[in-house]
Amino acid sequence: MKELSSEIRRLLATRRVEPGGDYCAEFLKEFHERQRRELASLSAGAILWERVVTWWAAERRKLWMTGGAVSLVVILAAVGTTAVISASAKKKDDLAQRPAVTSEHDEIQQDGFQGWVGVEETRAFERMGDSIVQVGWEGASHWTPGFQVGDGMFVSVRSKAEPDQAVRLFVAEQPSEARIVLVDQRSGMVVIEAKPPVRQ
Amino acid sequence: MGESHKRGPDEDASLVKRAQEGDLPAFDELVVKHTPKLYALVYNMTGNREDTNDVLQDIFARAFRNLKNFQGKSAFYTWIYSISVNMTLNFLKKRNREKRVSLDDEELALEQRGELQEMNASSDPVKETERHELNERLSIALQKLSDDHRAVVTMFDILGMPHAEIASILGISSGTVRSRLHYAHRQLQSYLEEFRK
Repeated sequence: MKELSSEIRRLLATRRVEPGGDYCAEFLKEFHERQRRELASLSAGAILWERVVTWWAAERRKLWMTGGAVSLVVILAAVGTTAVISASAKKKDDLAQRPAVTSEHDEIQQDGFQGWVGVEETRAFERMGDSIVQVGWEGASHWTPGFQVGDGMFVSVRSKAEPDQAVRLFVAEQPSEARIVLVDQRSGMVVIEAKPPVRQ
Repeated sequence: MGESHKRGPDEDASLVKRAQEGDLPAFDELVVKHTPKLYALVYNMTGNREDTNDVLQDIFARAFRNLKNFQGKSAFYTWIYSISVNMTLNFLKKRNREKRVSLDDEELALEQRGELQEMNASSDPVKETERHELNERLSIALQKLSDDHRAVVTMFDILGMPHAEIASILGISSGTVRSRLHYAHRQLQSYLEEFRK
């Protein structure tokens, strides 16, 4: 049985090299810069959140709802590991057969993302989960995830520059934990993350 | 072997609690305190200074993001080491690079010089040369080990951590730690004996 010689053991022990000099100070400085960059991206999301909330407060008055309280919760947090369903599965022809009627949307221009968040009245949708649907709209190249807020009424987020900036739907194990997440495919940054309302 | 790490769990607990409450300088203190030893851990696993710095930044970024989830069931030290080993192992798996002696190993040799000089204090030049050559071959042999085996050798033989602590960090039994070490030692000894032939 081969064991390590004492000489090799001593040599291994000499490898316990810790950085000297200004390494820790420089390391901490670099860490702070990284934290600032990450906080800056969160701040941009916070601004977006404010816009969505403001928009939603105005739009709610226009919505026709079947009853019960509906709320939109936008969560700007890191997304966990859940199943991802791409929004671009459907063909354009499908949409041409069943065009959607859209209402006005609030435009978003956020850190490279250009698109809309809005409410649609549409006949073109397919249910994917408890509240999550895929929504189609006239002239679009693919469907986008959304969630129902009333009879025939859906909230969705979509990008102008598809397919580079696609909307992805995260479906968690618990339906109540499902999220709609908008991710800039180029930067990987989460632009907006929305939780479907609890259906009454 | 098995040198105990000088750490103050009470001090870490206080700093962790403050950091969890939003005290950023408290987290900075944790970074400064643990970086030197974590540097040694990551460096000996990656063998590369630049990679070490990048991985360490990722480690502390993750620790910062997940600090709110740290419940103090283990020492902070164990928690951050666990993150460090896992992230370094993941990094190594992704790294698509031939394992060979790099310039960084020459830098390692320079840093080891102080220790090696002590070892060579009463030896003659021939033995000193042999020792340096053996050290270089040891670098190659370490890189030949699998990432998991290099991890346990780094923690036990290089950092002097006891079996139980390594087991806690890796989430395996002490018996498995011993088994991996035994295999790794045999591999190292075999590789080095080949060089001597």
